[in-house]
Amino acid sequence: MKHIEELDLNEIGTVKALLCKGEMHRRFLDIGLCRGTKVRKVSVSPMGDPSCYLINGTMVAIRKCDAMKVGIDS
Amino acid sequence: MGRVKKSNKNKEVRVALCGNPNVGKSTLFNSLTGKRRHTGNWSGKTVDVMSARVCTEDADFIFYDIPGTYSLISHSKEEEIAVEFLCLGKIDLCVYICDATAIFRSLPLLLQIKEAVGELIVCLNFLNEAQKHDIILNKQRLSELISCPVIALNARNKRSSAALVAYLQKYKKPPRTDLRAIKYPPEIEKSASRISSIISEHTYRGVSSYFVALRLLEGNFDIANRLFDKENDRRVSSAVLEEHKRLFEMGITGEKISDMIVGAIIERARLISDEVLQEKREGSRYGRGILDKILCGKFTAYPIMALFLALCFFITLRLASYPSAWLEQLFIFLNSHIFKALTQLGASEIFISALCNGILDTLFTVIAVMLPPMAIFFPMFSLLEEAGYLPRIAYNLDRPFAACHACGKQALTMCMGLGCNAVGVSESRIIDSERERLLAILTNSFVPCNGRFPILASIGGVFVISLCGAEKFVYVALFVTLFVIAGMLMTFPVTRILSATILKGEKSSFTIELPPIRRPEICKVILISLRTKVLSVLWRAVAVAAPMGLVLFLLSYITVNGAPLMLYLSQILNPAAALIGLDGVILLSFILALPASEMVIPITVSLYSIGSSFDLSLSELLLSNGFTPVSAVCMCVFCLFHFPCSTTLITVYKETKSVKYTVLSALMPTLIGIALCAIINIVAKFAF
Repeated sequence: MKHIEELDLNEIGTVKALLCKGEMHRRFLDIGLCRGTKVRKVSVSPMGDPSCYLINGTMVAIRKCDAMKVGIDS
Repeated sequence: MGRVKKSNKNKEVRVALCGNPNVGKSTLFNSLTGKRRHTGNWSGKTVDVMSARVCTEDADFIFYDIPGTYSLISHSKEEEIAVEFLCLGKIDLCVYICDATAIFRSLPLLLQIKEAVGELIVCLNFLNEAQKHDIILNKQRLSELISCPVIALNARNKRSSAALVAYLQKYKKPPRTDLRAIKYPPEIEKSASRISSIISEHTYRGVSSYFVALRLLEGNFDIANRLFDKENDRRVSSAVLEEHKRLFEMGITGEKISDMIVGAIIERARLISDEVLQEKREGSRYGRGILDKILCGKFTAYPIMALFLALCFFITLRLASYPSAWLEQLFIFLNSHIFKALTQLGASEIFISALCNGILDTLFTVIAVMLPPMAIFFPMFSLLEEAGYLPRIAYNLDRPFAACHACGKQALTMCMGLGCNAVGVSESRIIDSERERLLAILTNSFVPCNGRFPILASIGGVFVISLCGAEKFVYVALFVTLFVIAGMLMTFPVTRILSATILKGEKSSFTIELPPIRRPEICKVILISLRTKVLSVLWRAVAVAAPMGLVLFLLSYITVNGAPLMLYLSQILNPAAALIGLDGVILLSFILALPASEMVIPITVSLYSIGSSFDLSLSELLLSNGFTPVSAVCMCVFCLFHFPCSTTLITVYKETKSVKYTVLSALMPTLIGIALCAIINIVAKFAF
């Protein structure tokens, strides 16, 4: 499965599954990341990590290792 | 409306202002109550509850500004506070503030609160902004779908908030209905209903038993425990156990239950937002991201950060020098007149001397030295904060922090520390992980606070004079900026070492929201930051300076072997101080200035002035006492790395509840400072 981390800049993906549990899972749900959410990669921070995603109209910065836990349709 | 005053015979209506982070709750609170709560354009700004009373003819409204959250059902500090307020019957009415530009984000919490407390009033903020970006909302439809009144509002606008109060005055609470705001999968609903029927016999102070039942099903006993009467505990927990068993037989296990519940909430939110939004243009409010491209660009981000920093110092130092000089003149004038008046009245000599040469002199010097830079720096910093630059700093700097096993939000607390270390320490609450929060707290004092700028600036001035022969502001600002950056850079190795030793652990996850850059309301922000921050810090310094003035007087008045106690003490310290390139007087000043770092320079001046009848300036005093460029560098290094002021230490203790960490936060920078100064001193001796 592809992850949101692998999106190109300004590419849009639809979340298919969250590959984590517990606290992190909750936090993703809090920022509105769940099955069916559309995610667009907006920018990459100057040092390459984290990246910024547009999720439900809000820009959220997520670290690479965390973004690997969000699977999308390829 | 707008009159805020105490007590009235009217009935009291307690109103909670709640919503997601950064939707304008504090702004609305300010314009409703006329209070000056500090606001900022980043999520997590508000971490405690503030209340204020607004009296109208019919009723007294007490507004509570609740910290922003995204849900009521996880475990962060803000959520605990929100649950405490909303569910424990501490409020009568709930006003929910939505960001109209991101309505979907607002809905899950709205639905949860609706489920928990039954009814609320929804306010749509940022409607203008939404319209600007072609986001059109159907207010009527939203109101129908969530069966709550919905009103448009501009949180910054006084008239708009007055309209809200007028609405609240007329508002009649509808009879409580058991409206289920969210549709859950049937298995969950059945189980929740069964638990709910057991607990509803003992209603929990205004919160719906169905809501509590759902939390129990999720295994979130935190909330439930607070809402329970202890005697019923056992009956309820056995019922929960039974339902868990039943769900388990259907293949629904612990983790899955909460997934299904949260999934249902989000599903419902999506349905509503799809129907309410007439034109969906995802993320169009970020259309003009040029600013972001520059502020977070690969090649521009760091130069711009350094530039902002340097500019802040340059403006502060340049502008502050004039009012500082005027204040000094004024205070000298005042002091001499008080002296004359008291002498004429025939007061005793010791008293006059203690008051004028001790207390007043120190007090006035502290005000003259620290007020102008603070009055310029704090508002400037608030403007950057209000515009939304701070979370972008965290975004830019997360990588190095992650490399130190820490959290990018530490950059935010460092920025707050630039204003005041005590504030930086208490702001560390925005970091969720306990370990990373401690890292931020312990290393906060490596960022020099506002009180230490004057030291850096004046010593920088002396340094520049001793090298170039004249004082040049550009060089001084550059000097200060370099030192501040050095302090900030020191944070990284120390954080890394700490997370390998005392605070062992891996980095946790990090997500931070980057709010759209908003143009701050310049006048308002400046006024608020002057009124709240500047005055409070000034007051603290004054409260410390006055008694310190007395101590200084006593130290110079009491004599040991014919010399003032002060000189005696500084001579004792001399050999130790020589090792780190300073002299006893300066080291003594640093120690005596423990209550407030602002005092270092005034104390140094008064220590050197003992016995000399001339009024010499700082640079003349220092240079005549054998001050070299090397000692200037050493003093600045020691200024960066020494024990933080007592207020900060007290705050560290309050936040960590641990003597060990408090001592560590004082010891660590001091040892580093001593080591660095010693190295510089030795190297300099061999080199020159």
